[in-house]
Amino acid sequence: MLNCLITMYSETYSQKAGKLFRDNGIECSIVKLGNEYTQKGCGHGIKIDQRSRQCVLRLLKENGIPYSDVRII
Amino acid sequence: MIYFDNAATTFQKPQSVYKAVNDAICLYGGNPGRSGHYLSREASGIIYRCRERLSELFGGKPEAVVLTLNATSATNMAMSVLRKSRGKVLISSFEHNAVYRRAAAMGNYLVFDASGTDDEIMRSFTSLCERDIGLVACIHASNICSKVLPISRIGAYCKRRGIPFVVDASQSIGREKLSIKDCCADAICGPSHKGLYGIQGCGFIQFADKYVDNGSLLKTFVHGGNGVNSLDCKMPDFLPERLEAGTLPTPAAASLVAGIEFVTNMGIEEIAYKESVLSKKLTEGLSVLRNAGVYGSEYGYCGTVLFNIGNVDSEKIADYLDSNGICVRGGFHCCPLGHRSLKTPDRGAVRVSFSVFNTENEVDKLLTVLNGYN
Repeated sequence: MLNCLITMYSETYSQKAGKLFRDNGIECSIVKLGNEYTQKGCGHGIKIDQRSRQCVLRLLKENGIPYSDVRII
Repeated sequence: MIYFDNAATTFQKPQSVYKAVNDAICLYGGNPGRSGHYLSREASGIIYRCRERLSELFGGKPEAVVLTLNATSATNMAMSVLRKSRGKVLISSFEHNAVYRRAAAMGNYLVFDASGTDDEIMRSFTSLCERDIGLVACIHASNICSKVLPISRIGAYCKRRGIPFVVDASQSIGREKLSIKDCCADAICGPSHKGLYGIQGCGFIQFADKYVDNGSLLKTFVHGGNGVNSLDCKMPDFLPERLEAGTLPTPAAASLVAGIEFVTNMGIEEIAYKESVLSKKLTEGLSVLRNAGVYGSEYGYCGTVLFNIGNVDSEKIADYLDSNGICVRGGFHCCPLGHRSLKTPDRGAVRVSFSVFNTENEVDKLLTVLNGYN
């Protein structure tokens, strides 16, 4: 199963997005990210099943939650 | 012991608050937002729930909630980061030192008279706004009497004139409904440990939604690590991390989540009503006590009563009550402007401040003990 990793701007936004996804029945996990993903040192992201990718990106957009990157891992 | 110093800090907390604090320390004791392990993630969850609950109280966004050490840190920060670089600071004549001292340190401040009716307050306020004002900061409710300012009218005026507006809601949160949109505030500040029944160690600022997408509009205030963009020497340009540095107070945040739930379940109106009943009872009891004088009773009844007995120093009365197992606060309550507005003497006054846990029997006991002093 492929996972999808969304790099968020902050831990706060990760938490906000995580709650939004769970409220919409989408399983996810908040993870700490290193420089490979953030380019600026410490950061946070959300891991989801990549089959939910379109849905979560739509939710993020509809709720004005910014993110910096999306990639399949 | 009878505790009547709730304006300083609420002493009796709901059982759920004690449990929340214990759980935060014993079960979720990681550093929020720093590491990737379970304990850090759980602590992060608590912090976010705290932001969420606060934002629900004020009708704002959770990412616009900044956590601080206490309400004084919050007001200091909000006033500093919002003030236009030029322009005077305008405060009310009932301000707590958290706002008054900050305004004085900023160098150029004016005071509008908040002792009259709402219309009189607005006349004084708007007359001073003819001058170049870079910030308005004022209380919602006084910490020494029942005075409540017309912050919706003040905020609407500030919004029309493009003046940043900070509300110190330390004494009104949990007793008065407060919406950041309705009062047109740029920031609402408060503590965890008063009307929301959390523990000491946390304050907060609810910023207006517009700062979420424009965090760089806010000057930075504290600088340090926050788990975001660690390789960057600058603070992030988005909230809340732009204004947060260092370890956040997870146990206090957990207590705030539980405390807000307690207040919400009980109902803010119900809490205010219970406290007003006690205030009315005490005020009426003092009115028949020989040599007793109450200040500010013309403003109605909320959770606070300020009084003196004859020419006795207020601290002596407070000591006497303490020796009888009753906790109150004498002196000036970090509110010299308010005391000046109420024309209390140079020996200060005695403040009794209630919480939802106080009872009418306790008020009866206080009156009996005061009668004994006479």
